[in-house]
Amino acid sequence: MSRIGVFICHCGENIGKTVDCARVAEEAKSFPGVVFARDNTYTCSEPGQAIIREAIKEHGLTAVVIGSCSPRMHESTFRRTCAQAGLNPYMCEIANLREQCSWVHSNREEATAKAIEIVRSVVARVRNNTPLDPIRVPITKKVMVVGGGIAGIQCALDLAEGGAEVVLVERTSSLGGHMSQLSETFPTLDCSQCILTPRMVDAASNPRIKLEMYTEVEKVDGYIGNFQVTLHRKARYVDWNKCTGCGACTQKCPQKKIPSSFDEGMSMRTAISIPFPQAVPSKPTIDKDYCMKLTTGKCGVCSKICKAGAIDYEQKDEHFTVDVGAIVMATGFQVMDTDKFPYYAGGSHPNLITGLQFERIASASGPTSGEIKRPSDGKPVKTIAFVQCAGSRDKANHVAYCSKICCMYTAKHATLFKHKVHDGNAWVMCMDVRTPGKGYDEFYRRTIEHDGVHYIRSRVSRIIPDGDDLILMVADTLDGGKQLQIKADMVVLATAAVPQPDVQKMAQTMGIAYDGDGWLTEVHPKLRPVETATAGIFLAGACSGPKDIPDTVSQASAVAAKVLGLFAHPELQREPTIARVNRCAPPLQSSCVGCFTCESVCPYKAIERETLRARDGSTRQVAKVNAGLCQGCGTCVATCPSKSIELDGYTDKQIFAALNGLV
Amino acid sequence: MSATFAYYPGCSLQGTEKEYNTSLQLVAKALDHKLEEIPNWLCCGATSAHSINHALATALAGDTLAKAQDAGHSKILAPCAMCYSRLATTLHQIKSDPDKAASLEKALKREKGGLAEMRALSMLDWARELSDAEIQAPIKKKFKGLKIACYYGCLLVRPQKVTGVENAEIPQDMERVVRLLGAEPVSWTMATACCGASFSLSDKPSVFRLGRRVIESARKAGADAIIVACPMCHTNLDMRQTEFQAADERIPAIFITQLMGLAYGFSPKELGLEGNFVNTDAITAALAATEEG
Amino acid sequence: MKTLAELVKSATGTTPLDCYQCGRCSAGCTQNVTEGMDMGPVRIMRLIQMEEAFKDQPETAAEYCDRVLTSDTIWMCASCQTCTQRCPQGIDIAGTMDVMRQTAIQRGKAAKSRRVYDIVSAHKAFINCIRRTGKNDEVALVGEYKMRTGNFLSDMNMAPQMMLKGKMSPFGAIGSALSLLKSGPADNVKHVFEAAEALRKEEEEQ
Repeated sequence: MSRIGVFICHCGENIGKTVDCARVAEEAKSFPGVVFARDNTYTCSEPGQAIIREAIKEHGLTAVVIGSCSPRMHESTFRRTCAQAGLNPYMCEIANLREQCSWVHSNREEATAKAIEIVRSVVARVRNNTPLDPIRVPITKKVMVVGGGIAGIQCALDLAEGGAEVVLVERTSSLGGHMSQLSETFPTLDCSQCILTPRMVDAASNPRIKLEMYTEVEKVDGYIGNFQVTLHRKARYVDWNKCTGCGACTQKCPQKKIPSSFDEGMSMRTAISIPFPQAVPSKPTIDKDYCMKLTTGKCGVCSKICKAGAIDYEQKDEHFTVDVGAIVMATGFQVMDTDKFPYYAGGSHPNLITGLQFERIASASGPTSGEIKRPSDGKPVKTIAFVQCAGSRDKANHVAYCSKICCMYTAKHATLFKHKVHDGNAWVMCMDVRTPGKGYDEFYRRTIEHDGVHYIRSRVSRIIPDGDDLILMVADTLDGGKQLQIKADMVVLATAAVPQPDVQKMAQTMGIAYDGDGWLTEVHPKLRPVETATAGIFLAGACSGPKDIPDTVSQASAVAAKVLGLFAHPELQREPTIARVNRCAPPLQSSCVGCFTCESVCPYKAIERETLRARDGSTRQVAKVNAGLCQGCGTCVATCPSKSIELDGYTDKQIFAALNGLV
Repeated sequence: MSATFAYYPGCSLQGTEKEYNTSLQLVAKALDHKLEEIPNWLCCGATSAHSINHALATALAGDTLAKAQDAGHSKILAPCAMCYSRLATTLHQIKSDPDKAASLEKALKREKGGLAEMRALSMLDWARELSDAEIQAPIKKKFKGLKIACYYGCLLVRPQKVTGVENAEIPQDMERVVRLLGAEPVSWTMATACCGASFSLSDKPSVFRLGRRVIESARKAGADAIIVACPMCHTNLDMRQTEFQAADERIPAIFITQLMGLAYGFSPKELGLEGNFVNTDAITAALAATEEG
Repeated sequence: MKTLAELVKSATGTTPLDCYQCGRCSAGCTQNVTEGMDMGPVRIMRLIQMEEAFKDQPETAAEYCDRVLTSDTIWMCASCQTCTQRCPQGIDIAGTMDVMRQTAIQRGKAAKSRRVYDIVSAHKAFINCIRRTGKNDEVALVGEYKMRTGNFLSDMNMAPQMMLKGKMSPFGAIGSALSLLKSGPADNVKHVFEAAEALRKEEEEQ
């Protein structure tokens, strides 16, 4: 027999002004099962909570109903209060008398009547509650970071610093990502490699960080605290344990005409190569699509030259699994290619380049050793034009969003150009120059005021090739739309930042969400910016949308804090309000008929299949909920045609009782 | 493969640009295409109607669609880019807004509906539906060493949501045909620029400036000739060229159907080439060079 | 009276209110300022926005509206569709120019410059041509255009050559000239003008 206590809170004046709390408490005394009821000005205060604790003990209460604010506000507070008094916390329920009653009504009489009905309903519900125990899940205290750019490196370093074991997975053969391609960084103009490469070395030498290079994530199973990740390590055809990184093989390889992806196609590399001189680890890989030995069977020069005997043409791809407790997505972004813009010189002209290509041209380690020469004929560039919003903010033809980094990197490019070519002329075609960041606007203004870069407020309609030169069709919108033609030696398109093309497929295998543009989505853009809807999987850097380096690094550190917070617990305690497929005595064992509709609707992949064996030895498959994965959304409950699934804490019995209490 | 179309020649093809009609009829026959002229068709209204009388422009297009529908057709071939654009624009409007379709049918006092199900084909659509083998089958002689600038102008390609072309900035439909005939398309910058045809009568400075821009670009790219698929473009780039371009700086502009017709063995006279103001010998000469095909 | 933005919305399904003034329409415009436009299309879009913004202050709104309708720009537009094709906001800018031209005629606001007068005359002559025969008879069109504008000598130099090239026949020319004497819609085209009138009324009522 239930012994229910009811506590009606005035919430200062929030409820008390509109609802006659004393009368609600008085009425509640007559509801079945209620043995104690009273009102109070501030129930959530310490004295208010003490009243609840004492009443539980004094009256031997078996369940408690608090008439107060929304359960989102204080359900956990009051459940903790009950637990302190020895009551199972799930025997405490909230009747929402503030958001759903006093705040939305003005007539005191009617509001009081409604409050009484709400309390009656919740009392009827709590009579059907059963004690629940939190689910305990062990945690594998190892974390996988996917992506070895600045986001992944920073996150891995912070995690290792905090004592976590880290597996850092990178699909190319070196750490560094896009940041290693940059020349200087805004707004301070410090050299990108100078600030990045020490961190690359730190990550590689940290005993808690295990690098998995040239490796991609193939599959993710499991749940928070207990993921099994299958990795695919591509054959490098070089035994990195033997390789000393001397680089002799890359000198002698006869296949020398392969566009270097590190230099954005503006220099050539060999079939066996180290992507760039500062690469970490500084070990070569053989590109199987170009290597003559691997494609035709003839050559073997690198094998002959390697003193360490590290070349292994027989090396195979490997697939293996790693157990981790958390996963960090730090997969970054790409930029649109120029070929997406047929109206800009047909989308292909040697002197029409992307911002990333300009970074390589401006970089001291780049194909022109930092001299601003154009690709077509190597002529030093005197007039340069930068086109912003190439693809960004163009919902009709490309993408609707702002790529965020282009305004600043274009200002930086123009500044670098003027610093290198004193008598040169730099034009920037822009729409709105967006500079929200520390020192950003000052940098942009300096570009104009100090370095003499010309900004024209215009989107470019067309770029017409004129031999090696390019003519931009522009209109000055600050001059009534006056048409201008600007001839330039080289044009840099600030092409839109776009998601990695294969990240959506990966997101599907992991069960995390992405938006219409393909960016991975956070649970809440403001309050939970680095968590995904799948517990235990986090986002760092540009994989969730374009970000500059400071934002990326901040997020990476934020993720590390989140993961270390998770690992600080000996085990995971999870809300027991999860779905359960019923089991009963033989011969039926379960009313589940094994249709697995639930499996197809579950957004969390929490439905598993279990084989039941009857006495006669026959077997059948029924559904089973994985308690680690289930988030308690109830979709399966609503879909189950044989009504074999219930959500603990929200059983049909409880819901019907609550409804009956209302009518 | 034989095919039948409702044929909407349009006013220009019956007037000053009749060689477009003549050559298209010959080529269609060679390809086993039946062109059934829409009975009692009316003018599409052209730029003037859509500029100053939107309702009339819509009603005229609706009338053409209705007459083709009544004659039992679903596909209308409109060789004139202007006529095509008027039909395609109206179709786009009534396809994307059922209310507009209903109003148009009501205004035209039609009960049976289905105007929005009709399809208008430009010469690009028509060429795209032909396979390489089909285009090549009737060839008697191929061109050799003939460099062609394929001129699309505006309305065959723009706006993309109306024309449905794959690439409105660098279309390649005519280039494909040119290659199959043995000629060589040049890469040039003014293929989809405007020639100013809508001002042909009323604003000569625009016509001359824009026409000259196209001719100069084709010359710079090394083209021997320009091909077009629009009678207004042809008027501007052929007849008007004699007004804005010095005699030794002209290049001939002919219809794509005339180019095909020559390869298919029809004579320049049959194809109406002598109607050209700018001499076309450079084109016919390139054909004679490879008699065996 | 409907605002210009409202007229554009109902005719094209897109709205100049979406314009964020990037200027790509003007940058790629076949014509533009240097070629007789008094302002780039980008400015036309802005003025339409401002008319809408000042809807509740009729005098200011009318000022903006007039600046659009009396501009040369709307008439110098070649309807080449480049602006519509490339507009990042997907606005039918060429369609907007159509609506502006039609509205300028309806409200008697069309610019009075000689260049615009010639263009408007050509459009009117063309539509009259259709009214008389259902088709565009080029000779009759040129004839009416010359009468409207007084440009008697223009293109007369082309006529003998056109006859020589078989593009025009002397007898046909006489017939065409005679057709100019007809008035009122021809039988074959009456129903279309009626339909247009019905469509116009329906649009007005909306």
